Amino acid sequence: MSITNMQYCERDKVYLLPSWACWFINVGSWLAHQIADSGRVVVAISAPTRAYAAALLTFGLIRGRATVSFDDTAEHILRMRNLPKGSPVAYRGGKKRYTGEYVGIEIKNDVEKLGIKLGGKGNDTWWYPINEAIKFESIESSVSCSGKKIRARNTPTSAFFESCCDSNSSIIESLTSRSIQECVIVGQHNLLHQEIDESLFAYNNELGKLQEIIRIKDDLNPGEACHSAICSANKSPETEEYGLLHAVIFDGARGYLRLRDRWPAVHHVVILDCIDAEFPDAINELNRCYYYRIGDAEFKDFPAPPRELSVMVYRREEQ
Amino acid sequence: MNRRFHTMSQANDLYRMKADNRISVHKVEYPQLQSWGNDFRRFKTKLGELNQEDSWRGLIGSLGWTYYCMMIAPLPLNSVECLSYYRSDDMGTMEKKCLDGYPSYADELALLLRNLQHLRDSIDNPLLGALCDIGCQVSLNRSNCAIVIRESRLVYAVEKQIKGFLNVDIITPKQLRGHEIYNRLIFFGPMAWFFKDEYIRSAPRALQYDQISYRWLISREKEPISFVSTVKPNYLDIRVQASLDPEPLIEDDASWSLDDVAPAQISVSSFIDSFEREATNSPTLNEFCIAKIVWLENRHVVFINATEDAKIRIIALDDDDPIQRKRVDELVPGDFLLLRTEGGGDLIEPIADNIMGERAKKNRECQKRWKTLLKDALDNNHGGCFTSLSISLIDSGAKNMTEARVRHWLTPEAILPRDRCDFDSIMNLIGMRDDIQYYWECSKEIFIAHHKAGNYIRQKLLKLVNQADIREMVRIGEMTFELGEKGGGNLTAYRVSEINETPVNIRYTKIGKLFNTQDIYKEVLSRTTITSK
Repeated sequence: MSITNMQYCERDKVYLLPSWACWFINVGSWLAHQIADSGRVVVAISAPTRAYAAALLTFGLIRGRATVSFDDTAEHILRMRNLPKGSPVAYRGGKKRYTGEYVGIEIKNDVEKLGIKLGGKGNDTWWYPINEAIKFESIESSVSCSGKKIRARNTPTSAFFESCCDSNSSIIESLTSRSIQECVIVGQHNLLHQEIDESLFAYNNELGKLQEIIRIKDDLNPGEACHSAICSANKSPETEEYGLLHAVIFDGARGYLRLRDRWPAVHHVVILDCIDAEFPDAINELNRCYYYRIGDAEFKDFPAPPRELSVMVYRREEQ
Repeated sequence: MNRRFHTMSQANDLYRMKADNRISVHKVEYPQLQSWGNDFRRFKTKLGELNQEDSWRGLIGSLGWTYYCMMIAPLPLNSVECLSYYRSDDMGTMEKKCLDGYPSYADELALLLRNLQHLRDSIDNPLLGALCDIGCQVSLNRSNCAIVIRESRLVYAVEKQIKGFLNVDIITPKQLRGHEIYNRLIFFGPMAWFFKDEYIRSAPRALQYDQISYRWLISREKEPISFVSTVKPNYLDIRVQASLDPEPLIEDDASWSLDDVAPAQISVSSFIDSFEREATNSPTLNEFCIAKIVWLENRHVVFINATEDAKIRIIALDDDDPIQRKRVDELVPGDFLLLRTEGGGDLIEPIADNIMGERAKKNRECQKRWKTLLKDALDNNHGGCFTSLSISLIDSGAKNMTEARVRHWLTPEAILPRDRCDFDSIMNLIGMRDDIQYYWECSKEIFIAHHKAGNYIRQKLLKLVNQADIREMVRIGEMTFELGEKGGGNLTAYRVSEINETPVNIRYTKIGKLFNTQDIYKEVLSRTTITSK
């Protein structure tokens, strides 16, 4: 996908996406390929406005995740390790898929095993060797745990959607056929909704909305594949509700300061706007965490930010 | 309410302004004012530590604020608004009180006051002259320009001053967080004073900033709030960042910080201390509660209840739901507190009483009775020790009765514990086992009435807020909403400037009551006894 072909539409006119907007998409794509085994990544961004930052970054992230190979066993095992106990998961056995409840990873007879309570197998816990973790995947909690197939259905596609996927069938399949919640945006629902589900964008002159890729859970019809969720910065969420995530995007200082410890094992993106009253506190907290970073390796492939933005990137261990 | 939604073009404009913002500085001369400022500073230096004493602090504060107002707005030096901190009667009392203990300062103080008198008789308006110089009327009128004034209380006076001469908006710094963008913003006073609000530097709302200030007001910019380590920006895009040219200091002590000219007028510590002393010695401890002191826009101060789980009603401009009850420990500067400005206290109580009708009196008496008995138990059986009382309550079946909770239930505004066993344990402890059910029902009735009253106020407020000109509230920092209730139904939203996080014990009757800093000073001064040096 070439970001330079991305445009936005206002008052019936189409304009090229400005460089700062492209940068947010690129950071999302970059983050999509980061593995958290050597510490989770924290990307802190101070911007003149938070408008569209979280939306575009999530767009890049979800689009990027669709191109990550799902056969990457090491990353998958890591994600399963971090999955909260009790989360709904799906198990692929032969040609069938079953759903159940994740029990955790334990040592059984000197072998690390992954436990799942399968709804269709008498409610007993079944233990599988860790190297079979690839057969498991986290699913959204709203899907019934009745042992039925969980393949997402009725996910509509459009010319814009297909354009954004470069008409690549495996990416389209990945985004439409299954619900994998990759990220949570912690922010203000109404504003994010306007940016993601109401503002018009274009790719190769095909008009569409960011929601077609991002697929916020609450704004979808039942059965459609979802890839992200919005969590209010003022709420106290149950993290299990969101399943296994790749990243959490904090859209604003308040969400970061209140909920940063809720998802200690996943990548964090913190987007700050200096008009926020809690901006100095958030900067101080991020600076404090920077001193506990892992290593000093530069992120050579990290997209160079435009000068209007101030950006800090580091790796941290789980807190 | 969508107050912060930007389109892509609007967002792009903000990035463009951040990239291309430029500052032009326009210096103004006025030797008499400069000379008075230097004398004032010398006098403060001579006072040394006395400067921090409440007796002197009020006088120095009033002089400082008068000087400050003369420097931050294009108003004649003799304008009423400039001199609002210079009340002759108060000045006389303060002067007398100060000099009673320290006669050696009499001559210098008299000279200072005499020279200030000359300034306050002047009709000169040097800053307005500079405004005329920076651009012809027509170009300013047509160029989407606005004047930024640091003090919201001077806005109307400046508006009146330039009326018929310039047709531009007069705004306050807090408005520069919103949607509106300008081609040009004219700031009165050193930019460094405005950069106290980080967004004015880091998220500019105009391509061109003009600073009009007196030549001697040299003020160092504080370091911007930023990350300790940043990723290098795109090398193709490195240009010189717009910032104020560093101003050379003529002498080491020539820089004027905001605190030099606009000091905190009064140390509230002694004011609070006196309340704490009363609280410690008071036989009626439950009349006191833990509070936070909150500084509001336009030099107002309020004490707010800061006991565990305490909440306060605010207007949240950026939220989907503008009327909220926010936890006091989550309150931040910039929030708009809703305070009852007519009738005093919390409006919810009289409305709840109306809902309860005839039963209100009886229910309130019941509530007062069990709290009084609990207070008696604390004093008589536990020697005033909350921990000891808390242990006794837990022993008699309470689930959630920490020391903080006990304090909370002793306050008049706490209605009833959520958990019935907590309530039962209190009633058992105070020997009212037989009346548990009756008292529980009375308290529950109050609780339901308060809930209904809260909803009623909320609905009315929501309607008023949606009809109100919120832009004006942001500009001036306060707005009154008339609910039209019997016995005083006005609620005023005040913007929080600063929150003192240190908790203090304060008499309940002072909670939610609005003070002016000048009033606090007077109260402190009336308690202060000055001893000769």
